[in-house]
Amino acid sequence: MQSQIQCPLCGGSLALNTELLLAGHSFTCANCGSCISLASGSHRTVQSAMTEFSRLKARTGEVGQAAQKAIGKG
Amino acid sequence: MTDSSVNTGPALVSMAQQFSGLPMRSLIGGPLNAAAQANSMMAITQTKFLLNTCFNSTQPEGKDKDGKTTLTPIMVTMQLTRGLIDETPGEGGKPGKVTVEPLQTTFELPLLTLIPLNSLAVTDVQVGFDMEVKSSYSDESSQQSSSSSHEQGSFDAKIGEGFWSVEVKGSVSHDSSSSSSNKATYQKSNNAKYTVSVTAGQLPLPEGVTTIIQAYTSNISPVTVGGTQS
Repeated sequence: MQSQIQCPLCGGSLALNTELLLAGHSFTCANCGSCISLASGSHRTVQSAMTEFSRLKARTGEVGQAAQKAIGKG
Repeated sequence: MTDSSVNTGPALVSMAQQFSGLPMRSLIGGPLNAAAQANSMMAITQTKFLLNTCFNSTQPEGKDKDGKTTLTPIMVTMQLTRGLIDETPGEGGKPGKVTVEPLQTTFELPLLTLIPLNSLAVTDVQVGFDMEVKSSYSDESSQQSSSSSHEQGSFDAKIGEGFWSVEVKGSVSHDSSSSSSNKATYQKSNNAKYTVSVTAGQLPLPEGVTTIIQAYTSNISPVTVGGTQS
């Protein structure tokens, strides 16, 4: 689950793992060495969004079920 | 006596006839249609998630029904720590003192960029149909006949007396028995297996969403905490 952003200091590409950010990890820019982490005030916002995203991903199972229903109709 | 023969029997099942009745259109098209509908449903769900979770919507003020809803991205605060080199000039020709102090700044990042929003969709649908029609006929007729009857007779005759005498003795026997068997077998079996395998996975984001995210990320500007100049 990686997202890529541009380093705000040097503009280099920086890969962030949202789950690790929530766990308190920080990520270092390979270009300028700056360290980026999630501020504690935004922890709840990101956590809530990730929970919703997990629910969304779980719905992929419904795709298979819809196809299986079509077999029954055929 | 033994007699064994194989009869051709009734006509075997026509294979072409067996397969021509299959509803191939619905067998193959059904799952594919369902997958397409599911993909459409997933796309709508993802769009709703993106708009509801990653944006704040602002309703237009007043009773203007034609007013459009404004969507503002939800921003997340990130901490950025970097080393600040501070050099104190030395006194009396001595080399200065160089210290590296961590400088903490914050910057705002759209929540949209932190969610790994790859498109969820059906990536592979495999429809497999195996049908096996077996038809065989065998008629084996085996007739074994043996007759057995038992009859027995004997006679004893004597003519004359003394030196001139003839004696005749005889016996007759006859055995007969009879048995028969007939065996016919007819086998017919149909076997059909229909499997649909659906695989859902993540696809790359649509170009439009990628462009929006890039526009946001390229406008990130750090704000120094505590007013320290960077």
